[in-house]
Amino acid sequence: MTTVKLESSDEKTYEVEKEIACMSVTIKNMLEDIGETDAAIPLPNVTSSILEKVLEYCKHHHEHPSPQQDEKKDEKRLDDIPPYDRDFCKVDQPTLFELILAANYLDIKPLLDVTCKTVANMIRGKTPEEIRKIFNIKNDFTPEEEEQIRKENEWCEDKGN
Amino acid sequence: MFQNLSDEISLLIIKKLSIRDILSLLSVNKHLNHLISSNSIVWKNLYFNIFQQLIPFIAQYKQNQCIQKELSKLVLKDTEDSEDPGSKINWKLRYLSYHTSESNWSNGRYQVTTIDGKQGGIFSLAFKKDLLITGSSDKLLKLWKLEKKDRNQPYTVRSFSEIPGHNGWIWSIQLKKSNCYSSCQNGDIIVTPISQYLENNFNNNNIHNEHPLPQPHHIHRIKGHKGAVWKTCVDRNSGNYLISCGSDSTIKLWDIESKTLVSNVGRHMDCVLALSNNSHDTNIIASGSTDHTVALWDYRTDEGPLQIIRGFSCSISSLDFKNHLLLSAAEDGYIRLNDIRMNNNNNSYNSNFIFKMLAHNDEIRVIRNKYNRLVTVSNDRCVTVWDSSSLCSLDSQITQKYQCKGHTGSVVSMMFSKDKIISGSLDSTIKIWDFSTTIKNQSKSGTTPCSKELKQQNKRNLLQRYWFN
Repeated sequence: MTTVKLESSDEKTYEVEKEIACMSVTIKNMLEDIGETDAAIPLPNVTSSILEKVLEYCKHHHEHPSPQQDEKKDEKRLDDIPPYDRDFCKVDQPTLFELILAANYLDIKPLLDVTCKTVANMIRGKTPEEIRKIFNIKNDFTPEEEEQIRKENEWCEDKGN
Repeated sequence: MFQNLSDEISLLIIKKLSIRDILSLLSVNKHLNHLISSNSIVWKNLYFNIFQQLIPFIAQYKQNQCIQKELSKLVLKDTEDSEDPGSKINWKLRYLSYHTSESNWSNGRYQVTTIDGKQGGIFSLAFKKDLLITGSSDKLLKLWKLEKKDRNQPYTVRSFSEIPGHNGWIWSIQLKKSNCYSSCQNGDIIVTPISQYLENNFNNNNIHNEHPLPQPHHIHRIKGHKGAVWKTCVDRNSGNYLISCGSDSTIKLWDIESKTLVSNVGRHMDCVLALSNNSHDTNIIASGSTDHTVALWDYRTDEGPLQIIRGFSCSISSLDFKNHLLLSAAEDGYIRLNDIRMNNNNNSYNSNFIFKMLAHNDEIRVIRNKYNRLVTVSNDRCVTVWDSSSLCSLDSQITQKYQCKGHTGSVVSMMFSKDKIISGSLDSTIKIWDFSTTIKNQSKSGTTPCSKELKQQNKRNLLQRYWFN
């Protein structure tokens, strides 16, 4: 069993199976570029706590490959998150966003997809005010501007989707 | 939140949302508003999602090139208000127009523009892009230009040309590619080139100078029918043949290029009033007659009908297909649905009656089905919109959505596109029922059927129609 070493931004080193590490397209490409090496691959954008989570995710999916992985899933559907992934995404908001960034940086498509879906689910069916509250966003519109936007979007009022 | 994420990632999330949620995000803060409004990918994605829902349905017709072609046309082309093809596509506007029309269609919200046809009933009409052509009892083919200053403004219509040359009332108009085929009371079919009116620079104000009338030598006459020609259609295979039917009980096939008769496809016992070609099985045409039958033909042969559908107790005035389903509208106000399918065991066509339904209180003059919408017009003065989306499913049915009322005479001609219905009536007006504008507070029209005394008056109109036979 071949293993590779990965080094997080806070200089912790993890030894993982090559196949698991290669679920990240970024790492896969790096390994292809540098060839066989004993040196740890530096991942300056990922902290150890997030890297641990990511590796946990990859390990699980390596051991339990999902049957319909090859099929093109309907990206628009938000309620088809598998149970393990759903539980995996039950983390606080900063962690969730860091996971998104890490998944994006490491180029792990299924993880990016599931984390984005989780955020989309948090937005679904909410009013603008509720969205601001959930994500702690400041409203920088003047009341006039708000009214203007409301007017522009009137066309959609009666349609649910 | 989104502050931490790059725009690229934010868009990944936004792409997973429905339009409702996207609009909520629009009003969260300036950054998101800008990100979404300025990003055409979001809107393109929404626009294409509409068509993705159709894919499982389309998949079962994968082998059918015609449907594939229709689909790609549907995806690539847009509603009637076309943008400059050279310019960058505004996906937001495109999605918005689509969404508005859809919502207006299902809720029965429209703006009406009435055109005074000056003289006589509007027996026939057809439109393409912003060109509308009408035919009436004054023997003139009238050309109109549909204009719209702004998406939310009603249509203004300008008459810009009248083409003489018809020796009788004009019963049908068909626009196909660059030609207009108009059929006449005296048995002629007149072919008028119209491409010059459809060019992109048509928006020019001095149409008269830019687009002179077609010269007499450009207008061709197809002669051969004895008595009125009621309907024409162009074949769906090569587009090189014109099929026509008339009071002389015949269905004839013509070569468009040479304007000569190719064959007599078939013959009914009486006038043939209705004709339709099938986009699903492109060799098949259906004809409806005053002999109370509908017949199916292979237009390429003259070996007689593939199938005769009986069971009607009156004339069949209009026909349309939806895949393998044949919709026939009749004089008694009923719509009938038949399942027309090739029986693979003996290579013959079967027609299974599915249902009949009272749709109007008087003769239905035109029935048309397109984009899951069914529109009928009738002597009872109503333009009725139906939902035909479940037609091909197991519980085949048509449900009435609403009636567009306003005509004061029988409605005898009609055509519709994604965002408008245009109807012509014996009250000598043309009405454009425009579904593309964002309007509020116009409630659904009532669904009360038309009164009895109307029927009497309409019977007289009906007589008028059969006078000449």
